[in-house]
Amino acid sequence: MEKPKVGFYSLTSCSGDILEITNLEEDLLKLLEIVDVVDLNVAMPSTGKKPDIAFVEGAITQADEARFVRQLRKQVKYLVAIGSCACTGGVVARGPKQRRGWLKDVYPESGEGFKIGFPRPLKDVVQVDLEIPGCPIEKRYFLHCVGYLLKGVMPEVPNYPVCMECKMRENECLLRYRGLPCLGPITRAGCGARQPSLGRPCDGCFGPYDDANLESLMEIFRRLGLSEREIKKRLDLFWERHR
Amino acid sequence: MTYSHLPVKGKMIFLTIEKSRLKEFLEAVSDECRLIVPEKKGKSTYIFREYTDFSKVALEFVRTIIPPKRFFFPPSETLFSYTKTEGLSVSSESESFTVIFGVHPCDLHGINILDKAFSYGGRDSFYWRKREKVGFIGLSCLPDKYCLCKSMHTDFIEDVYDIFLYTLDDVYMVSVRTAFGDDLIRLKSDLFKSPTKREVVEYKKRIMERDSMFTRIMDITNLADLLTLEYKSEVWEEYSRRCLFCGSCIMVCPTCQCFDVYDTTDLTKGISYRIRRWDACMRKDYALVAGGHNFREDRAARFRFRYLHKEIGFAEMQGRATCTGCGRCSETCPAGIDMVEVVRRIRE
Repeated sequence: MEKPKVGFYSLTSCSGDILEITNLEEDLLKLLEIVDVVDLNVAMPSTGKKPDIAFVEGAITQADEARFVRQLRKQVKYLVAIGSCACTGGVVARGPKQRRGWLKDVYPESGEGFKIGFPRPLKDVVQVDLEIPGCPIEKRYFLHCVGYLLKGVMPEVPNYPVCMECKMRENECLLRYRGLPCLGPITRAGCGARQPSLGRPCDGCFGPYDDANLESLMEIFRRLGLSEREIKKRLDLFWERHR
Repeated sequence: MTYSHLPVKGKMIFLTIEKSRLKEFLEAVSDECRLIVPEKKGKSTYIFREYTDFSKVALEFVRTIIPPKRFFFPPSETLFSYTKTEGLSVSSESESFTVIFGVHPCDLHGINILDKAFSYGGRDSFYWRKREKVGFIGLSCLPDKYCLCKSMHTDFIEDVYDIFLYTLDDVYMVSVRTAFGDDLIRLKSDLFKSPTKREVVEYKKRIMERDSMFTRIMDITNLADLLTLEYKSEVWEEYSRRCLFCGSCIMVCPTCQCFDVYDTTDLTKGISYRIRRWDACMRKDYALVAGGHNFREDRAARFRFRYLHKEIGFAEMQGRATCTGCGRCSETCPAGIDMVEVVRRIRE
């Protein structure tokens, strides 16, 4: 039987998610026995074959990228957004108001180059079958999803907040006991409460779960003494789209 | 060591052990089996964990972040695995024998409630396989501002534990309830003496003192009726706007027992697993069924459900409300929602 063909594609991003996939190391070698990787641009030249499942990281910032994704959509059975940028725009879509200034600072003279628009997640352009969030994605979460997709079934993914995983690890609540502005209560689980377990409040890279009560958490932040500006800054990294 | 949870015949045995010699006793227990003890975690939080060093054992703490249920009802566990070549394999890892030291009356009551829940309509083999190999050394405690055990009638226990230690000035008054508890005492029997008259007087004084230290009282008279009558109260709606639905209160509850079951695969090894993991009734997907219908999609309904289920839902099975008054939910809630306050509002 022919092995299912899988492609990994990178749009505007730091390539951190596909890097995580190459970081699978031994598991990646075993994965290669099961699937036929047709594209993995950070590690090999394209085979030119069409994939059955496409994993796409990064936000869409250029017309070329939008065209590419639309074309890809027509070819594949599953189109999977991987990483925060592909799922929500992520870090790439920070500061919609400050962008113009930033661009000027970084690229003082605008030459002939390419035109960029406001970064969009994949779902703004094409139908996405599955989102694997995270900045970067979690390797285990990724493998779990691949396991399901290869069987033709949509995977079971967490639809509850980081708090539940954090409590299961018996961490001391950073919000309750240390007054730190943790985004755990509104953020989708799946990372095993990586940051809170190390004493750092969650930055919310997985984005919201289905029932997130953002208003209540903002009220709690206000009670903790955070200014509106500080609250805005807290959400600026991954939550621009959900505010 | 043979193990039996059966109560010792005849009268309960009372002994004393000097506080300075508790270390010798615990070391003897840890030589014999896996010993779990309370330890400090953060500034004011505690957890149960493997015994390493007596100096780390917390003897005066109010509650741990998660109750001891996780040693026999873990947050996540594999029920069975499946491979193409070998088929189904029910996980049957043999658990080492465990003694949990420092369990307070409220948590012992919680274990009693879980024992009934995991036996109701058939024994849950995954639970009991672990639970049967756990013994308890209870420890007396003093209440803080969240403790509600007195209101819930769980401030005292005569069941579940194998040994219970009551803290006195220089000694622990030791109650030995089971044959297994007796075996534990015999590991180091020279450490234990019969209580003196003075110690008995002190014990009586201590329990009276403790009883007067409870600052919080929750009136549970007719509570099940009131919750039913106030089913449509706007209080539920009001609190559901504040509630984060983060599930923290459920994760830390000694009697919450819901779990979700899901499958995952280890592609690289070619093994599939069926896993059960703690679940929370406040979760939006909890009451979602095939076909897409959700019995409790509404937030207020989900908020209310937790209260109704704790106070009424389990009553038929348990013969009582299943809150043990441990205070964890009120202490841990990031939104500062306090069960006592909610119940007071319902009573108004």
